[in-house]
Amino acid sequence: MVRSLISRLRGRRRRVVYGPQVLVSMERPWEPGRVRRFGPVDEVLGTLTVGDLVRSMGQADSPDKGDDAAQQKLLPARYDIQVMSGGESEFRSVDADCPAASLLAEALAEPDHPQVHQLRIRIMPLQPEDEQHRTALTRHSDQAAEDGPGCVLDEEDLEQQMGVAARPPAQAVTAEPPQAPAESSSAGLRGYMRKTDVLRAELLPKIEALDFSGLFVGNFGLQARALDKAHRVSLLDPETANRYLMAANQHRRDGEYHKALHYYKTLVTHDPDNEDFWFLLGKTAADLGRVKQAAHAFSTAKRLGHGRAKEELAALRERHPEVIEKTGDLLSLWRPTYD
Amino acid sequence: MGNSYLANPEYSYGGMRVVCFANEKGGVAKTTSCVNIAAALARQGKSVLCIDMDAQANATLALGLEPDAPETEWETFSLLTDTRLALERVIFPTMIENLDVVPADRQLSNAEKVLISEVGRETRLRTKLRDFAKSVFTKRYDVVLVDCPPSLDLVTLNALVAATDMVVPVQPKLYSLKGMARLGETVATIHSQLNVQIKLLGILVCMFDRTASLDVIVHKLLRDKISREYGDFVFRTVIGKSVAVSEAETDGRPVVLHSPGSSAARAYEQVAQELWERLGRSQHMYG
Repeated sequence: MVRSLISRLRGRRRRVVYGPQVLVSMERPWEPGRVRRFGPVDEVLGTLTVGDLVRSMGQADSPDKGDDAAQQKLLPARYDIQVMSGGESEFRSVDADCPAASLLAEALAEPDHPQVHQLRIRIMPLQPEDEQHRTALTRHSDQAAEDGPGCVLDEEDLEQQMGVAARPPAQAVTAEPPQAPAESSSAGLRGYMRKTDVLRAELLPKIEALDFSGLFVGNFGLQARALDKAHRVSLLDPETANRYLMAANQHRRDGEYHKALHYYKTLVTHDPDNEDFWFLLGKTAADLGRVKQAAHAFSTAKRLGHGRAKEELAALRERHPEVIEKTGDLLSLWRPTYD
Repeated sequence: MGNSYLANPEYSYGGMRVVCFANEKGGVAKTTSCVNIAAALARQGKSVLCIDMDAQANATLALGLEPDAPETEWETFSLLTDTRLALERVIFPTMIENLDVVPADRQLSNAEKVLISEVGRETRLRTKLRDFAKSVFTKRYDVVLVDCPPSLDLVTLNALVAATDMVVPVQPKLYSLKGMARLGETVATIHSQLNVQIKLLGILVCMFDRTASLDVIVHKLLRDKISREYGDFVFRTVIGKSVAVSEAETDGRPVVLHSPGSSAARAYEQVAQELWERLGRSQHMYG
């Protein structure tokens, strides 16, 4: 039995790849991306350039062509590379001749680097007016090759080399801001839209995450409060009402009169004919010093037939004669607002 | 359900609207917007009072007053700290017809320390405005504009508690929007604890650079988010970057006076009209 088990295991040998692996994904803004696993790093990426990776993924000429990758023509493009190795780096622009291994050099230098690194390559096609951009890329990559390892290109460096023209004098805007610059050429518009697409993709989640609801509390707060109250009342089945009452009584015993008052108000809204709720509301309001509210609650409880409401009202009148005397016989007609 | 505090005459100013310009982020053109909108409204025939609550006293300077001048013996600091001082004692006329100002001075930076131990420290301005509105001997203003400091301290709280409406100037930058979100947290807190009536009147985009893709995108995203979640609360007119504003500040006058033909002045005139329309639309909420 043991021998048969060993023979089965030998027959199911799996190829084990040692060393860190590299996962390469490529995408164009308007096409779904492709993913391919390369590995190990030392063996595969040591001689590959970014252009080789793109060709092998079949993205050079047509996404359907997977064979004869070396023979495929590489269309002029800008390659924005993001290295995802334990964390995400920013996208950096590189040329097709940039060695792929150099992109991972920094990540591989980390002592605890993960076993799977991901190179995310975004292919951004160039436009005719980007010839200057390509020239700057080539010039910078040549210079970088002379300077040392690495062939990444910072946006600031690119703008510096391209000699970004000074912006026109600032002008006041009196109408709706334009969504695109005034250039009429479609090529310029596409170039502009590419940049705005990238910016929008970066900014959208940050702005969507901001919570401005507090600014509108005054505008819609009353509606929200009314809806909340209605929602609470609709949830008050007898079992829930019982829980509310227990919570209110507990808060009152603990001296948390404001919390207790909140629950009692909900209870009287749910069951306005319950003399006990009104009585407890009156007691809590009296403890908080809200004399008028307490007097109204005791009066209502008394009207509904609560046995002790009359003496509580009398005690309240003794403590606060000036308030009770002002309203006099009209006390029962006074309707306080509980908001 | 009762709207008791809205119906309570104690919290209304007899039809006078109090609009505060607030944002925790500094340098977003709060003072510039407050002063120029006040001037534009005054030129459009409205009776306007501008209250400067900022210790930098830029609004005071922009309207032609000197913060430490002897004739302005009492100012906003005294108004907040002296319970006996009436509002009409600290109102001064400006170079613009129909526009008066309550000046500020540097003492206002100490107001926090003075007020921290006082009773009713958040409601000082509201009390003064209420008494002013109730008095039959005081001038009637159509609107009061309050310039708040770039902080969330007791001075700003006084303005927020006293105001009926709020305008939030923002730059189309992420930090400015975050400051607006933090202001919203404060407004929600004072709503629940201080029973205030302030409502957001609108969000005013200022210092807009039309040549910057970032500004265009941030403005678009903000407008889309606000309109989708809350409605039309971003002012249609945006205030662009303009040298005319800086020149007017140097001259000590609002840009609507210094360069009335400039694009910035025209923009502020349009914003003032839009603000007045918004105030009129929300009038019915007060019954």
